[in-house]
Amino acid sequence: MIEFKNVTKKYKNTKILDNISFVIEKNKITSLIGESGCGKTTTLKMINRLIEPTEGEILIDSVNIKKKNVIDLRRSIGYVIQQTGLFSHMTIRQNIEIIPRLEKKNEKDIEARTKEMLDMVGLEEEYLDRYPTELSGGQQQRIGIARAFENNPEIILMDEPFSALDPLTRSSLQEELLRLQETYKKTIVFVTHDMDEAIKISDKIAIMDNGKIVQYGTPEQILKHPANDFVREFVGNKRIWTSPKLIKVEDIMITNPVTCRPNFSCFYCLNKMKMSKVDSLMVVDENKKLLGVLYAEMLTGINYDGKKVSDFIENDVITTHPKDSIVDVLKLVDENKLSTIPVVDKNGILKGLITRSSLITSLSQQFLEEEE
Amino acid sequence: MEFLNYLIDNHSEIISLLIEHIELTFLSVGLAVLIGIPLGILISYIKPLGKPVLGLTNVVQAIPSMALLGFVIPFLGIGSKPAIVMVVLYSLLPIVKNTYTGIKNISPQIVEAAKGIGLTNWQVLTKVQIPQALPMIMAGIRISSVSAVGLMTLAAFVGAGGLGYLVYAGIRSANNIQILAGAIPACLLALIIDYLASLVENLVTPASMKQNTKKSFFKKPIVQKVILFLSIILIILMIIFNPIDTTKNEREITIGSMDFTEQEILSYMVKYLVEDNSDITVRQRLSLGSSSIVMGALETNDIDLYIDYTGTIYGNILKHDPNSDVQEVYDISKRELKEDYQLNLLNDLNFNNTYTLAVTKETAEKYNLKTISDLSVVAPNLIFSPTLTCMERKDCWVGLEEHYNLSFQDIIPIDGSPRYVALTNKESDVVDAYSTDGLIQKYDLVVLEDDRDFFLPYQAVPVANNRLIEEFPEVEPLLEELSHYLNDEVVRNLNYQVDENRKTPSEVAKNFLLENDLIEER
Repeated sequence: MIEFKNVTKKYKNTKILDNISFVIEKNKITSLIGESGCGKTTTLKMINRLIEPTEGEILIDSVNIKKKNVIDLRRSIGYVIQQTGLFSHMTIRQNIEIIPRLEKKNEKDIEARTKEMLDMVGLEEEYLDRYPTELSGGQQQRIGIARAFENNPEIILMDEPFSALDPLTRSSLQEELLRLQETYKKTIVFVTHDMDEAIKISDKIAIMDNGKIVQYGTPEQILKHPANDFVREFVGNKRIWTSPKLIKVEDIMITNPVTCRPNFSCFYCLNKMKMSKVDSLMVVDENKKLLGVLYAEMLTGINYDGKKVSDFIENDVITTHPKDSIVDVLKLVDENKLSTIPVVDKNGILKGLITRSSLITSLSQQFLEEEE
Repeated sequence: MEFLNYLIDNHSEIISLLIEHIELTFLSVGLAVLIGIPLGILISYIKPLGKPVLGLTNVVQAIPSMALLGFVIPFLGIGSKPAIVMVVLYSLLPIVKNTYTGIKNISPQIVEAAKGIGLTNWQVLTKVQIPQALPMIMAGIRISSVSAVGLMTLAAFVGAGGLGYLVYAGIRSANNIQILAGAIPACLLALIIDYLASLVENLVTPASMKQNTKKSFFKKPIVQKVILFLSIILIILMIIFNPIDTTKNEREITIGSMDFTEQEILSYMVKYLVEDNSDITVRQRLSLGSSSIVMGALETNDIDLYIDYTGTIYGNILKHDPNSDVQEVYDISKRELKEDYQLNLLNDLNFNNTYTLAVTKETAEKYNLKTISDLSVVAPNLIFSPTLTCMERKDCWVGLEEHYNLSFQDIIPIDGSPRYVALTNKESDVVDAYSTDGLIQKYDLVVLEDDRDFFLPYQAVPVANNRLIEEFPEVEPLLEELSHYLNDEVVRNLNYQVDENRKTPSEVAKNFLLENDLIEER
């Protein structure tokens, strides 16, 4: 856990960072994002003390980093920067092994670790004796990551590591990073100016502007509830559609579906359907727990006088969860040819309803808004 | 053919001078590297120092090398020290500048990355900055080394030896073969050093920064390493087996000489004479340049004895006005040298190497010239080529001009024997000459009589320091003895044998001593 407490950085009279306080959680990927000059890189470099704060303090696991030996601190933190971070006069092996060798660690351990790291980033051993310039940009950055992981640090700082790469390579490296994170669970602080990248890889995002953190939260929170106009503009209205997984059932469901109780008469219920212009009713008990669905077509052409809802109720209903994504719902609709899907929470309580028409309305939003 | 013969006859001398040259060059460049690289690193770290340091090294570079050499002599005396200091000062600029630029050119991101992953400042310097700047630094060392080989030829002027000795001895006696014997090995040495430095440069450049990737036999790193390794072993062996000896032996004296033939012959004479008749070992410092440099060396006890001329001491060193009274000049010089310089003027060597003016036979006949007074009449039609020393001396041109009311058509100063060449090529008509100069005989010149007693007497006199007088009293009588066999005619003939007959000063000196039974054949 990395904690910023009232950190301010001034150069002469210019405030680069203005009294920021936030907590970077352990074993998560946290992105710092903003336009150039917003202070995101300064914030990052304060963690390994390449830049010292003018005021305030930074704690790692509750220990003020000023109290640590700066060299030990840096060696316990991985550091990846744009492709220039590799030393061109050293082979790949020398680059990866520079710190453990300076620390005079056991030769065999170093070699084994290097092989493991190379394997981790998906490169062949034959690259070890080549020079950085003989590798592609993507390969170089994989080596950069391998070097950062080599000393097995708890924390890894990444300063726009993928921004100089072409989109395809960038995308594959982002996925690689996520895959690594699943296995190694590091505390990763990631500086980027690319919102798509931040949304894709981050557990949490801190949006910075003018030396301040304007919003700090999960990608979803930021997309759905931008804290102010700056964030809204920075994130962009359409951003959510680039990551549809973040659109949840609860965002698009009808929140007050028409319901009935099992002991209601069928006549009453049919009448209710006509009045509400729906073709089905959600059958719930007094606690709003979903019992089943009553479809209008079940009652057509049969005598239902005096019968109750419970006699016709369809109990075997496919449901969805409020936190499921729109992608999951679309799959359900497609596979089961459904027109309506009730939304229930984990206790079976009815929360809302997804219908084909509500889906179409939501999906069409991105195109309709664009035409405005 | 003649050149080859010269090489074969003198190969041992050439080789030992070459080795001396290599030693001096390597010492100087080595020192320049030891000073220059840290200095370059320092100014890349401490910004305010950058401009003054680079400016200073630039200024040093701009000082004429001879001037710089002259400037350090009062502090360091003569011999290898001033030569090395001069070459080090000259070599500094490319090394400092390239180190500074090499380190400055490394992207700040690389340095920050190095710090960021946890290298200490020292490790950033040694593991990242220096290796990255090394190709640039080596390029600077390479430039320095090559120019050092050339500069080191000047070492001969201060008695440090080296190939320059042959070059200047050759220029002095108008001996082109000797010039080439010094110049060609110096050129080859420069080329070889350039090649070796290029190998180092290539080896320290990481594969990724190299431009061509062609692999030939000599481009293979292993082959280059072997070549370098062998060269370094060779140089180390040379230095071990041929050390620059600066220690003084108990029973050893050092004699200096100025940079002309007569002085060299006299130096060898004294050496053979003393060594043959005593247990003293004599070391020579030949061709130390002008009288004031040699005198300086005597004052700092770099040498113990040299032969000067009364007129030079009287006019040049003691700054007296011209005086043509032989005895008075000698007496005053002796007294004042003792009082002011604690140096001892010994008895004169019985010959007078005075200034005189000389013209070709042709010119003499054309204008019917016998005396300098005759010359003053026709001077406006003639071109005068004095030596640089004569130009500025009161006892030479400065006084002469007034004394005889001379006014030439033009004055083109030329140093050394090339002025005789100018004379025979008719680019010049009148030169100053020394009365014992063998070249007068060689070029068949007419010496004009100093009919109005202008020139000072220039009696050859040994000048010695107190060490020689006190610890080696046997030397003075030997010189006294030698003087009985010398006179103007004899000395001019000895000079002629060297300058025209291409004998070495050493053999001329030895033969003369043998002929007169002053030493014994061994």
